[in-house]
Amino acid sequence: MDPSKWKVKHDITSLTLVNATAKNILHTVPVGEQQILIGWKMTNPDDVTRNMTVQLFKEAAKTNLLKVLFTEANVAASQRRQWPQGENTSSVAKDARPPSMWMTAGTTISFDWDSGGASTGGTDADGLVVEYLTTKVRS
Amino acid sequence: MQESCPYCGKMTDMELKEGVWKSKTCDCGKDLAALAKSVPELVDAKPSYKSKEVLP
Repeated sequence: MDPSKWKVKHDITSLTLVNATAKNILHTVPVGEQQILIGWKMTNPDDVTRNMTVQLFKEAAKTNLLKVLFTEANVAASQRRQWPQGENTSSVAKDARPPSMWMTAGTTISFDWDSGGASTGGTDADGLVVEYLTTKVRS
Repeated sequence: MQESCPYCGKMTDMELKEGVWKSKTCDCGKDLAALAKSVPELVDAKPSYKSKEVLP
């Protein structure tokens, strides 16, 4: 791997959760690129607890599940979770935590916030951050 | 990046503005950016880094 051809990127995403509605955000590797997932941070900007899940799929249509990267029920309001170095210390499921994940074109990370019941909702300007290495590949 | 629309449930493209992926109008016609402005903004705790110690 030639390090000069790889770039570090941070996809910063503004996140909005609304009253009693689930949220899903997809990060898909574009055609002509390959990426190595370094980590991510996701927040619950709502004022009620939310179940949060991160899954890796082979394609954007989310047909073939490759791995479950993270799942936790009832993440408290305004709390954040990080991968792979979680700041959470409770005994929750954290499945498949390799040091990095190689992703080819089409590979999709699905970030999910379950519906949290009646709330005022909330937004966070950097509620989701995905950190990865990326490089171009020959087609 | 794509996000789910809370009105129609479909995935809609986000747009990159000044380095941040933000919501835009969904195909169903709802302005998700306006929605983002209509709910409370999460304000992270901002600690004071100024020393309370009185130096001699």
